Amino acid sequence: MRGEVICAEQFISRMLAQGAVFPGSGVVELYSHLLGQSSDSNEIYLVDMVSEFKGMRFAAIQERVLDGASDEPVILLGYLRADVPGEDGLVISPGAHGPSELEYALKEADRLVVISQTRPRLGRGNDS
Amino acid sequence: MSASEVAGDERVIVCGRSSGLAKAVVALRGAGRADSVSVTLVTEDDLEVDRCALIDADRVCGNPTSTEVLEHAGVRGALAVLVVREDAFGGGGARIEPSDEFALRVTLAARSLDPEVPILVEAVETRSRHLLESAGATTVVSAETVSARALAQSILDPGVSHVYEHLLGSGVRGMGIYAVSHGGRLTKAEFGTLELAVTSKGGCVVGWREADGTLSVNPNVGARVPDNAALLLVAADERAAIDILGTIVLS
Repeated sequence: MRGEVICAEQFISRMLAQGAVFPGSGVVELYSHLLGQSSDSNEIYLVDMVSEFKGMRFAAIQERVLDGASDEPVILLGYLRADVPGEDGLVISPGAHGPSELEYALKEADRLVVISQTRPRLGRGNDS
Repeated sequence: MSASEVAGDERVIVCGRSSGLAKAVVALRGAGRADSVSVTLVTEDDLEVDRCALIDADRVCGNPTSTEVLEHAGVRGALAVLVVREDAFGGGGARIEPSDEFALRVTLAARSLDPEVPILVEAVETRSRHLLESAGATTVVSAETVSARALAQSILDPGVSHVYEHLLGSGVRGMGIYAVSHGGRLTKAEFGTLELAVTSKGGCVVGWREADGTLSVNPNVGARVPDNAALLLVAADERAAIDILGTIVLS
């Protein structure tokens, strides 16, 4: 993705709005945690596809990851399709967008969106 | 009659004197529960009142550092108080040096009216956090910290800011993160098993928040869901998050 513009003011407005509408939910703390950079905090990463996962559906990759195909705990949030330009290719929580996104077979140039403490090495062979 | 007596519903009070006020109200309208949550704007800044003229919100004109003004706005028993940071054009458009003194005064006034109401503060400076918390702020988010961290993550991983934008509900395919109680049904369920089940239903579980506020993000796959914990789910909206969790049956 090129030409990325970060509007921190909008981030903050939305974070606080969610915290105000859902007080005590921990949502603001969660975003603060994800934006933190301490050794015990998690962050969001975009990671390249590994050969082991090419052609697989999101749910199948998640099963593999949960079954140990990662060097540390990882949550798969979604994926970024390479064949769709810009942020339109970003699919978070694929099942929420219908069966086609959940059934989509990920391609070599796609990337996975993950939550992890450090940039994970995915796949049994860790070729990422 | 106060604003809260008029509406008699869940109300978020937004206080400030900067262009951030309008942005905060727009964000609140997009944060979910738009039908049941009403918004009251408290400001003495005529420019901001004009700027918010087209926004669906009640307005109380007065200084939000005044307990009388905040009481009239309905701070007692409100769902939350949101204090917007000053910018360089605060106070009727005159250039000022933004500081957290105004936020501190609003926090003290609101807390003196209601010891329980959640007060969320957008701070100008990171170093003000402890001061604002000791004045009674429940949550303090520092603009400079969030900006720096978001920028750093995006430099290291271009595209990550778009993920945050989606998670914060931006765009047609925008999502949100919602805390949903499992009502004891999923106590001791393994996180990995739960994660697979939630994904198959169209959501994504990222962790949980315990009753004492302890946050667990990305726990180990074998970690067990605590009793009384609210699960943190990525979903299209709050209703979808509740529905997803409601359909999960783990043996």
